[in-house]
Amino acid sequence: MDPRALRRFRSNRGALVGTGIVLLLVLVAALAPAVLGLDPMTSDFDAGQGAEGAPVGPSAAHWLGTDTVYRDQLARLVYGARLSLVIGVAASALSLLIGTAAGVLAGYWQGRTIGPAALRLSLDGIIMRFVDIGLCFPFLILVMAIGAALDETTVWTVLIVLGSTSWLGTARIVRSQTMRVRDLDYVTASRALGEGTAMVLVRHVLPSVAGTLIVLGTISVAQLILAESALSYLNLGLAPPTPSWGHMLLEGQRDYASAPWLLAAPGGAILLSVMGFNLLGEGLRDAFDPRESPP
Amino acid sequence: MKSLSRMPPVARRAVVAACRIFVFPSVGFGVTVLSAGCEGIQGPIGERRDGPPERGGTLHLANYGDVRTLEPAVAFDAVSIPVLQLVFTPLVDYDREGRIVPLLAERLDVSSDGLRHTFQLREGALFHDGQELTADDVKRSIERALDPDTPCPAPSFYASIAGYAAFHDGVKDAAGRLAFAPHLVGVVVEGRYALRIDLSEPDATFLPALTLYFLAPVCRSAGSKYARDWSNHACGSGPFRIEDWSASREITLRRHDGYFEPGLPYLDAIRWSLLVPPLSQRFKFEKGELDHLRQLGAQDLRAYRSDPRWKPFGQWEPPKLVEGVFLNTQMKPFDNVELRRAFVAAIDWKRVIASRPDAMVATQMLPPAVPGHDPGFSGQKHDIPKALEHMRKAGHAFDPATGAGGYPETVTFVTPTDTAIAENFAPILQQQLARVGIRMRIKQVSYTAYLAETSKRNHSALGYCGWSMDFPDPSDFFEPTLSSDAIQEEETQNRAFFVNAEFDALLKRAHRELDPAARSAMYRRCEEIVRDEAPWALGFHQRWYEIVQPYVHNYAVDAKHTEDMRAVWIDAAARGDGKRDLLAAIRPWGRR
Repeated sequence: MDPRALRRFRSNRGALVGTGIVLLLVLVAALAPAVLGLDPMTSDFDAGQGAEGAPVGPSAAHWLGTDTVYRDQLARLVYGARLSLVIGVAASALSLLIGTAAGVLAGYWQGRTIGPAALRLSLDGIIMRFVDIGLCFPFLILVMAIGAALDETTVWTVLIVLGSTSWLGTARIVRSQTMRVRDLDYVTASRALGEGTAMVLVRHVLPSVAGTLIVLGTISVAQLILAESALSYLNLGLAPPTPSWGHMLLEGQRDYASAPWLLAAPGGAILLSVMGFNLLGEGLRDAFDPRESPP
Repeated sequence: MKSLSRMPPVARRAVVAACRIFVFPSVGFGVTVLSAGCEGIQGPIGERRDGPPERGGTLHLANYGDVRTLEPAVAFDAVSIPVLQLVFTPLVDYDREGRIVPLLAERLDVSSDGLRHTFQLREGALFHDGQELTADDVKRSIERALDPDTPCPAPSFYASIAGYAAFHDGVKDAAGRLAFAPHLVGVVVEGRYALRIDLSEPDATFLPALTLYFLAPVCRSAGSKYARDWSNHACGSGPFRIEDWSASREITLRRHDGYFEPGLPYLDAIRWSLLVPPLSQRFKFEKGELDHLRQLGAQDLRAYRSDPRWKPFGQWEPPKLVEGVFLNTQMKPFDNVELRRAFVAAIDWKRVIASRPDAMVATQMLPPAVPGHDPGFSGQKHDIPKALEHMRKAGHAFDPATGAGGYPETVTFVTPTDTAIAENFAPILQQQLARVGIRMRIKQVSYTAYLAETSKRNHSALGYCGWSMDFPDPSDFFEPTLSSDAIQEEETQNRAFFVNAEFDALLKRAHRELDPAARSAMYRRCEEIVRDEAPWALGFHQRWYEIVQPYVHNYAVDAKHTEDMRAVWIDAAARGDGKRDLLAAIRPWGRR
């Protein structure tokens, strides 16, 4: 990594806060279930049940109180963090993969036609029109339609649905970067020296878009965590009783006036994690690409 | 976001100002609203004073659902029936003690064989359009509702009227064509105010079904045939007429001055807001924008119930529903009665419903509002050792200590999404069944998908089921839900596909039995069959807690009616200005 980028990153307070939040999240998701020793699926009818069957608020036995069926809210939050992170990161990786492939394909072979000559179909045109059409489609409705068509939602289906619908923006950015790099003198020179297309892509094009990809990936983790929460909030995510922040929000909202912790905990968790990834992503962007940020 | 210290001074000042103006106040506002919520509920508005009924005033009500139609021959849902109750009058009605009494009819005579019902109508009863209601109108309305072209959801309630088959189902003539009788011969006009209804066989459910609104007299503008758009200006003979109906928003009812019961109604108008979520209803109620509150979330319900200021103004409606789990008796694995018994014994409903103050454990099909409900009945019981024993008999012995054995496959529980069943009960059911070796997966689907999936033969092994009372008679709970007559390939209500010869025979006999004691003995035997054969795991009776503001008088709940506002009156002086500003304390610029 460029030492100047590292210096810029270290002097950016927002980026450091973001890093801290993300590290904390990862740590919590990885370790807390073991440390906590509470099961997010089991109702506690003794310490978790208050007067007249009400859930209990924050207490010694349940630090964040219990939900409406007396399961530990903290345990659910922590397991929910696991789910959100796994889905956010994996779906973002998937979306980067597809987006980069499509972007490089469209950008590097821009101007190349395929199929019968009379049709003059350009590869770039086909991919980018597909992207345009995809971007016109309201993201959530698309995801909801796919989610509703699937009989059973698992982590895999959510992940694939989110990953395969969120790569469009990435493809656009990667395409323009590829086009820029493709025509740089040193790339032309290396082609002239007989380097094959694969080599050019791997040695010159991909490294030059890597910075952008890291930034896009980090920010898209935040967006996908939000999207996963939205899906579960709309009851289209993983089926209960799997703990998920969005669904906890849904369960909590009915009674928020009398049991605000049911809403505050998952809401705060979503806010914090999305903010963490966004701050980290923007910090990375400022570090990698100082020209784009204001002086 | 960039670090503030690296920004130019102008930008920095702008960011700080923006934070001061927008971010800090909105965070503060959010915290205040949340903490205001924590403080609990507001007290009642106005006071309750004794005194004679007052006339005038507008009553404000709300419902979470929407009214799709106000056509009495067609409407059959919990949202429209309370409105129909105010706009139309049936021939007979239940009184507060649960006896059937004449309403539109002045007198009712039933022959000793139970076949002939003679109604003497009230003279001078007027429709909303000012025309007098006569026996001809009653006959026309009955024929209109039972016409084969009318999409009445339950014409078979009246199948015992003489000539019903020829009129509604048609008879094949010599050439094999279906011919329909022009009139229902069992309904005979005997004079301007006299009407006779003959039955083809004794039918203990005929009068209870007559208290519904399907056959209620409709104005002459409705004609003798059902027309879809008449519902928009529906017109009957009830205490209120429809003044305005903006679809999916609000219905305004205005007093019908020609109503036949002397002195009634007291109110000038009733305004019904539609599609108002329960939490909004609660806040509107606290602000004084609603006078009655029924659809409460579990937490809010607890808050109102435990608040001494509200205690005098709240009451439980007698439960009219039964809910639980159906076990498809014709599909694997629950075609095995032992596995069904294990399932039933594994569930501790007391714990399942602990989170819902509006549910009470059911021991039998019939909820407390229905005659025949026996509080002493010994029904399905939670008993883990017995459940394990049934698992063993079913061939799936399970060892709770090691978790070995049990039914090898995961069974899928189908439930409509976004309901108490899905959110509160299913996860606990799942935990409890795991203890006897039944692994259950929860499948949440939309309500429409739930209805379609669970009502198809060989489609769903397990799922949520429930039945809500149409009219307070035991037949209404057993016949549609568990009789083999109710089984269809699709859209059946017998989701358990339960077939039991003794059960069917009992239902048929009880339907025609006019002696109440003999009848209730038969239904008791039906309860025993349900308990032992376990086509349903009987769960709970859901009930409503209803609260009115202190200035609302004469609102009574009973076992037969729902949201009955016909005799309600408002004490205008006790209400005062009647509005409360919930946000006054936290709004920075003070009271509006």
